Amino acid sequence: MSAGTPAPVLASISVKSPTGPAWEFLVLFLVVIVGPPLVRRFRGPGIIGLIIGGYAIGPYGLNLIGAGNTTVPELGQLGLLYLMFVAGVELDLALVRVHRRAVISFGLITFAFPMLFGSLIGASLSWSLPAALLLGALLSSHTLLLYPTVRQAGLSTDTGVATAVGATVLTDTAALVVLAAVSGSQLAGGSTGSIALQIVIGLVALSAFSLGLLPRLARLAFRYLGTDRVVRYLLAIASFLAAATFAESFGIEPIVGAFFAGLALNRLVPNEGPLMERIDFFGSAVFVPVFLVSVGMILDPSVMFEGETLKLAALFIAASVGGKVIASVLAHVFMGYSRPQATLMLGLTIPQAAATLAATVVGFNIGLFDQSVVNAVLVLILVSIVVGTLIVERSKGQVTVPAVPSQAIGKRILVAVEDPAQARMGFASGARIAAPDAGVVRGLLACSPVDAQAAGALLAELSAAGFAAGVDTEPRLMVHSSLAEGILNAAAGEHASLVLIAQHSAKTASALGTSGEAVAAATPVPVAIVLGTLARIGEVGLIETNSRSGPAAAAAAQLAAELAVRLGGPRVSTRYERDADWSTRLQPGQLCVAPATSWQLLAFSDPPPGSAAVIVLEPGAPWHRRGDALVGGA
Amino acid sequence: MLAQRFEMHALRIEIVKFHRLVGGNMAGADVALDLITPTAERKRKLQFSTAYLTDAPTVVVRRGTTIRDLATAQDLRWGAIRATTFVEDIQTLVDPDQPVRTFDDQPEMLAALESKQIDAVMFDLPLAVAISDRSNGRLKVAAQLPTPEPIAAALPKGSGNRQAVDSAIRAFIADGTVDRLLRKWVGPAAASADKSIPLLHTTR
Repeated sequence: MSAGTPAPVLASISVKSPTGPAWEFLVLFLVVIVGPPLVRRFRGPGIIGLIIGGYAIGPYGLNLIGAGNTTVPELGQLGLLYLMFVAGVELDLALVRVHRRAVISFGLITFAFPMLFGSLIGASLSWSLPAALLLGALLSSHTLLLYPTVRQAGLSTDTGVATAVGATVLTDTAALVVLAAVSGSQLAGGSTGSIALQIVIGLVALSAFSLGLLPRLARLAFRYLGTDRVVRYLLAIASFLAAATFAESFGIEPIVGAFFAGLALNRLVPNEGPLMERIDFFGSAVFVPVFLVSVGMILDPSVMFEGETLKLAALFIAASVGGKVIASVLAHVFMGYSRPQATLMLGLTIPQAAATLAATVVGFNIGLFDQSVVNAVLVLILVSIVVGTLIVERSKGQVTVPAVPSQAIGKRILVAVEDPAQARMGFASGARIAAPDAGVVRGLLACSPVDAQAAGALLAELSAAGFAAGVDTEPRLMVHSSLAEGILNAAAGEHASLVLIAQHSAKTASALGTSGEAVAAATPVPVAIVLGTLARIGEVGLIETNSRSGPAAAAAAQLAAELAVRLGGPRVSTRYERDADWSTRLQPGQLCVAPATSWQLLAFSDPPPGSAAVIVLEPGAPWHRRGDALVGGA
Repeated sequence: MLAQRFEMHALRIEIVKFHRLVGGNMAGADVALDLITPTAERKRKLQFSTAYLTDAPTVVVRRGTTIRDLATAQDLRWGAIRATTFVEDIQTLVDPDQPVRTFDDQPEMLAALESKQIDAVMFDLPLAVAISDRSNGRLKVAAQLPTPEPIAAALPKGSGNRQAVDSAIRAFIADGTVDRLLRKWVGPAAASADKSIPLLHTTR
């Protein structure tokens, strides 16, 4: 090759300026990667980095993604639905149940004042009634952005914090109902009466679909299709898209449907479960950031720093923060919360992000809000996050950390087995016990160091047994020479609320039964043994036995009653049994729950095939083998 | 619809040629609607609302003319209305063998097409479908380009009405007004035509 050849070759190479989907996605994800850490370096919230990044690449910035682009806005819309779905699915409904009076009272006042002030501001600016109401709704919702900070401080069980968290369900639902009504009135043609009827019917139908039909369909789908984790995740996605589509077909904003779908799947997707981890992962990695970037793309600085925008922002901040301050003062004066608690509640309820942004974007898209309003809301979001952070940081140290964080019995259930074939009944029982607390069920495979070689296949089998019972679990392997010690360590490490030791027969694995006692004696975590085989939990009975007197026996009896109700619902039958071998007389299809004073008394009392027994062991029971090093001192 | 939304009691309509309009001459009007694509050059003279349509440039030919591929398209004699984005679209995306002929208005260009002075012309998709439908079979839609373009209302530079017009357009899109207007004035076929018109694989 001659020395002069490369020049003509190079000259023939043409390099085009980048265009097309690959370029747009590259730009988008660079913003998602770089934006948040850049803003955090200046002690700002990461969310702002995404919004500013969206502006930078958008039509009002560098125009790398132009005004005609539909991909990013459409992906952003999906992100918005995802955001609302996650908001619904993450809400701790157990907290709402426990503190329902306080939650309703505080939820109403923390919604009502900003709603009132926002609507008045809209009216005073001569906005249309729907626009004024929507402004009130978006100012009255809040996002629990600072809850992780409070939880890390050990304050998640504080009554004030629990009330503020629970009130979020109410404020967000109320805000979205207002949004549904407002957008419905804008998009549906016809008289006011027919529009109102359409919205009411739509909301009733959506509630019936989302809260009645969807959880049942999802439960069935999880059980029969959800043995693959990818499919489980896709089922969750399909669920909120179905609810969003359903809502839209009734003229209600799809985000309302997505939020309702989140509430519907709340119990099926425990916050600490593997599916929630996946939902959170994809949400925080892709969908939600893309939504925030797409919001930034409509940000126009030439409008943002106009007097009109800044005036609107000041009014919005006054209405929103002012309303929340009044609500927390009322909570202090009339609801018995201490001043630090009320201040912490204020800090938690000031930050505005998800629902506010969602309502604003919808208002913008249907032409109720112009760009000044969107920009003013972005200023409000920024200010609310900064103010909320300052208040929480200042007040969290002044609130006394609750001494003993109480944990609901179904919050974290550990199902321990030696043989995966024994696990299905344990998982099925665990799933029912965990459901009211939206808890997680985790599998634990106990095996000796000798058997550990084959553990991979056994763990897969255990995982499959979980799926078959409707439980998504990533089981752990516990290799230990002492089964009792292994379970104890695992229970402590997992912060278990209940340990279920599952086995088919006491006769074939009596050592496990003895270990069960040892575990029960040495751990504060309640322990129960699930014995027998049962295809499906149907008839559930509670057995009262000749238990000894004393607090341990009373605790076991109380726990047995609680488990029976959780397993069988309101139709649990109760009967008294004098003999210890009552379980041998169970009928096929029966599941009975009973407290036990000693496993050894039950060791030869296997339930007949097709029936099962759940034996609740007394905490601290003295019957154990002397040789078990764990329960020494007998 | 805009006048109704803004509760205007009177409305005056000015007719301005497209090339004058995109050159910044709005004849004193507050808002101009003429299937205008906002481009960087036009933004120097006008400001634009949010897009109310996003449609592909679409090719109209005489009955009997077929466009099988890019090579066939390049053999044709092309025409476009002066100062539209289609002139550049044809030059860069189709790159025909003969120079593009430009016309001042639509009737003049369609007459040239029907009299076989040119073989193919380009319009925005809804208009292309409407022209084809109203030609009694003399003209047909042959292909669409894979580069949809936003279509927006134009306002005079510095106008304070942009936010209000933007809000109105978003409302019209959300409540189906744009779709209804399209069906009424361009025909129901145009609303869903984009799925049935073949795509021309262009130079880019």
